[in-house]
Amino acid sequence: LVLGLLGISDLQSDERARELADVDMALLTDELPPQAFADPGFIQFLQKDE
Amino acid sequence: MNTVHNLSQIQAESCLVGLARHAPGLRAALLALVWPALLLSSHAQAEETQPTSSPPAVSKPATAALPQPASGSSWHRLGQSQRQALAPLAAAWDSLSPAHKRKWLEVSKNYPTLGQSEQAKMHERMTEWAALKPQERAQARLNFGKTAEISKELTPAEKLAKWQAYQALPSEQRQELSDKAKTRPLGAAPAVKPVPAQKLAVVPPVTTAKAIKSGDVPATAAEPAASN
Repeated sequence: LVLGLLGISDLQSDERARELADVDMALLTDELPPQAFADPGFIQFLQKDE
Repeated sequence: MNTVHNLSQIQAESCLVGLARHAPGLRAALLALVWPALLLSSHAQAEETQPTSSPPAVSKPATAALPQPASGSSWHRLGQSQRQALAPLAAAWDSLSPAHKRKWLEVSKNYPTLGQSEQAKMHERMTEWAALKPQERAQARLNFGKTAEISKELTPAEKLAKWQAYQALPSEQRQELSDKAKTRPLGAAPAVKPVPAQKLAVVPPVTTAKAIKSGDVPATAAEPAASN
């Protein structure tokens, strides 16, 4: 049971790491720098502009 | 809950001792099999009983004391291609958390599929991205998804022009926009990435819903709405 639970937990961590890696790669190769997304004001600016 | 757990642990231990008395040869084998499980369960219980509202700074020393997984724990144990992909993180690698390392190792798998200019861009941005706090990164990922949604009709050059226009704003105005974003009510835990459209339930049109209610439509017609 313990080994099974550890296995499931490991699989979930792998899945989560893959999802984060996919998003991070897209974010880091975007035309905008990461600061643009880390700045909460920019998205407000875009929404206002829209 | 704790008492029940402790009782079951004591019972398991006393059972072990009883068995070992009758068959002394089994003692070592039984202890080797059951002891790690008991230790793991008590460790899980200790984590479970920690207050969830405690600030991360308090729980940090406890996690730092835990042994790190052997895979990829040290920079020198990484493969040549992994080291090449993660070169900007070489200095900070050993200070990263196991989960953070795991994510970067996943990134290193896809790194060779990128073009040269994208690889260079990623290397340039990697250090500052890794230096952000986990909460800031989570917020940036969320904003990335929202920005993609808002600016899907914009060309890359237009998006860049918007960012430059935002940076050109007076600092008071930018601060005002940031404050406005912070005051917005937050929902539940932020999603890692936007949910794909095909995963969302399709809401049946009003007329169909009325028809189902009155029993005019056969059961097969109602299936797509019920399947999600």
